[in-house]
Amino acid sequence: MAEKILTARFETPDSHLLNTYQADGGYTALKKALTMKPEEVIELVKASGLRGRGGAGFPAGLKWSFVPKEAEKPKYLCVNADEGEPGTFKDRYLMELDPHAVIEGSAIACYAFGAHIAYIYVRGEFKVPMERMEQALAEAREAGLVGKNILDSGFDFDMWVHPGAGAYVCGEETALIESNEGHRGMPRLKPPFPAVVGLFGGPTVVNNVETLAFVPHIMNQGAEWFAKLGPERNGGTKMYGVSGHVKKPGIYELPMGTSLKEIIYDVCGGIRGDHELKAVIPGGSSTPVLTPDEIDVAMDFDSLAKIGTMLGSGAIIVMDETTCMVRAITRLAKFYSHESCGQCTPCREGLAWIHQVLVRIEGGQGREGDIDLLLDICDNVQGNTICPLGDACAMPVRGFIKKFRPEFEEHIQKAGCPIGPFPAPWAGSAKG
Amino acid sequence: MPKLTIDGVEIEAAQGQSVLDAALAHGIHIPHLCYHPRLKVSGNCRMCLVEIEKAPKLQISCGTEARDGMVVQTKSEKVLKARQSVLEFMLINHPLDCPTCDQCGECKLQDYCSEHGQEESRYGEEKHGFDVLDVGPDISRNMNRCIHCTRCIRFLRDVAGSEEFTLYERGSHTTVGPYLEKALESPFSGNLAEVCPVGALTCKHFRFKGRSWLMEKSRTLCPGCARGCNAYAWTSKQEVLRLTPAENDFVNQSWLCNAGRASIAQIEAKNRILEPTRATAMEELAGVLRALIEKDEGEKVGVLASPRLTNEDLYLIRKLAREVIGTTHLAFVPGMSDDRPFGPLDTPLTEWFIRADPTPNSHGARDILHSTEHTENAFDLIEAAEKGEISSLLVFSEDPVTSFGDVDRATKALGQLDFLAVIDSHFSPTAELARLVVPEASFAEKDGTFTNEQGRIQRLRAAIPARGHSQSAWQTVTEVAKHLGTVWTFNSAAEVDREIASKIPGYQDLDFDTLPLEGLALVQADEADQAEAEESTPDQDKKE
Repeated sequence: MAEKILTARFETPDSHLLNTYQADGGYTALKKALTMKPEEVIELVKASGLRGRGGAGFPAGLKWSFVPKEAEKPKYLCVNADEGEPGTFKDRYLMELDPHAVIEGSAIACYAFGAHIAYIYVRGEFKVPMERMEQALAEAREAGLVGKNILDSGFDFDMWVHPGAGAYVCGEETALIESNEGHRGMPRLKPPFPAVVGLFGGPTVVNNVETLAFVPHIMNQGAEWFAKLGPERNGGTKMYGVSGHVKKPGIYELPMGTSLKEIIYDVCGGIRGDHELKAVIPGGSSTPVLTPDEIDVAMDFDSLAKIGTMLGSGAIIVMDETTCMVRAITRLAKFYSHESCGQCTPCREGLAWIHQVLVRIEGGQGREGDIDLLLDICDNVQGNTICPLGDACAMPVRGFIKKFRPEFEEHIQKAGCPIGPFPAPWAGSAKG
Repeated sequence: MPKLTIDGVEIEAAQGQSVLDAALAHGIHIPHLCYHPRLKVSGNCRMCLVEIEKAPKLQISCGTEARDGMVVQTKSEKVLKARQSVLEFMLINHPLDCPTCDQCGECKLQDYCSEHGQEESRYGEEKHGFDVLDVGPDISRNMNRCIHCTRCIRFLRDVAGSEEFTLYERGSHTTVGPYLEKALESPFSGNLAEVCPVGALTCKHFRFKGRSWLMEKSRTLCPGCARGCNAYAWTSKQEVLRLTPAENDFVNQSWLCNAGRASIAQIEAKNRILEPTRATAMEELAGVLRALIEKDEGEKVGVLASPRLTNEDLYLIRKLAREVIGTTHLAFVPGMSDDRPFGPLDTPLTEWFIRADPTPNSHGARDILHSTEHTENAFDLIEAAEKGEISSLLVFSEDPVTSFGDVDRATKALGQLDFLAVIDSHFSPTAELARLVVPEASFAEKDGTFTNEQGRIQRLRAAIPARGHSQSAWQTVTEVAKHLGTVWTFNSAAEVDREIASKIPGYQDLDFDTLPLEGLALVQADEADQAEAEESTPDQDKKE
């Protein structure tokens, strides 16, 4: 198997402790960064081509460079550890098993763009990751790695854990900032972008946990090394989280651009039992679904975009032929309509409507024209909302209909689900 | 100044102005619901989406700054589809109860749906309903009609200075309501009826009383305090059904306080005076005065006038007292002074809006009554009555028995008078003591002007005919003066104003018929002096 970077220490006993981390060369990257000029750190990360691992794949170094050098208000780093996209479960392991890498990466990022405070916004349900982060921060503070004048460099860096309160939308960077400020988690209008007006009105960078965990490695081993780990413009490795009907679901760190087919059949041991692959969601539940004939694709930002889907968070959801596609998308629509913050009209009303229609189709009460209605609602939601949550529901609904339209039609014609009745716990109202 | 093109028309926007503001300023209407010119932009309704060249998606015009060279489409196919879909989404869980909704006829959702909406809804699912929640005595909340625009939340938090409403729940179950289900406490909560663009928040006092298209509205003034808020009196069948704010950037912006709105209650109050004591009251009043004047005892007549009266009333009361009766015992009760800035300010309304002086025309009373050589306040008049310096007293819209502060002493002093007449709109302890009572019109039945605390002359307009035999004090005074043999020819407030303009310093520009909607700032005495001084001795001043 290929080189492990982020998950290299996952098997080491007590990998979350400072001693273990330092014995493995931990915090040397921070030491090195502090001897460089901040601009040099940004240039290095830019040169590595490190792209954001939260889903959008925006180049991290470029994001840092947008922060104005001089600012009236303090600058902040927000570490996005709200990991809420169904299918995604990578950041929790980084926090549980290698929290110091997250802290070290955050410290380097802060030094690079001139912030002195970082908040790690951890999904409310992540109890253990939160405890591990708190413990690691206490250790680091004790060792002078966090706090005033870290490593006698004259640079102040502090970091705090901010627990989320259970809203998927807080993974959206401006909603995260609102929530981090203590407000109801609702996305803000952009512009202004967080790099200009963010947390408490100060310039703010929001980075994913995985993104920051790469930074110490890039400092130590160089930009070129990192870039060469993956295909062009898609450097590094990627933590793929595979769930669903494979023999060995789990987190796998593989080079960017590993084939989806290889991941499913070689890495994860193929489909469970004697079953056949039916569909794959490649990058978390909001990314359009792929059919078995499409899985010979490199799992990187650009290759997936070419076939009309996204790498997203690298969360691969595998479904075999026992899966009812209508039921699967109904469940996802329920999630998104439930998680809509309720702020803007198309998302608030449209997602609930989509879910209601899907529940009806799956329940055998589908009507002529429902499918086109669904597509039109998606059309009216997508692109018209404040944040991408509306799109995150509309995209997979469109994708499922596009790839599996006959199955939807069958539900309507036969007035029911060919695979079986809708299990009771799912058959609730849109309220969820 | 950025120049942009909207629907093919090139317009110039102010620096930093939004596309929506720029469009509205140039008469191009882009439908909008959550946007309110006096509230922070929230961009949540998505009604004002427009197509902007080079932008990958539709943009909200309320939250997009107008930039040089922008090409904006507000009626393209894409925009119209988005707009129609937003309306469709808004109606999904809306009860469509326009026939029984108080907002009907002045509902932006209703207007936009008839303009841009679909004939029939494609929504074939069950609508969900929200629980009823009482939010206090002034505002009725119907969550089913809410479009979640958050104008109410933003108004209370950012303008009224009392963060009382918030969002609850999420997604399509999101509700808007008070914290801890408490009743609204803001003295400005009444504004929510207008701030809410739909029928979710309506005025409880106006419930089911009238339809907007069956009412007439007159632009007038709120009589509730020295601010002189501009207001519309909405009438139907000669009844004032509600008072709502009228815009005035110099005075009240778009707001009116709850107490001001409630001032219409005085029109139909049980203690309204509608008829004089006797049909011959005017002759009697004139007779008493004539007797004193003939004995050359005009000085023994006291006259007390209220800052609740209009400038026209006050001017003719002064003219009667000075020129006809010949007394110097002319008094008024001065309003309380207010140390706080007058505004309008961007700070919460609680800090500046409602004035300490509860009368609408203290400034006018000072300007008009103080311009005589000798004016007293009400307390001096009570003392004058005790000392026997005055034997008769005319009281215009005041209640000295109560306002003097010592009811027994005031009652005793007034009891010593030979004659007491009260000209007022409502019965009071003083009126109970009077030999003659003459009815005065209420604020909603009078034409005239008030001068607010800031020195702005504004027009009060009669919204309904005067009740019973009531009339404005200037008419009563003119009638009395005619009985006393004068040749006064005042037939309207406008005619009185022509004399005010020539006699009262600062009022020289007053012209009743051409008074601007936003009022007229008084010509400041020091300004006039200064202008004169500069003209006459320019060099001398500079040498100083």
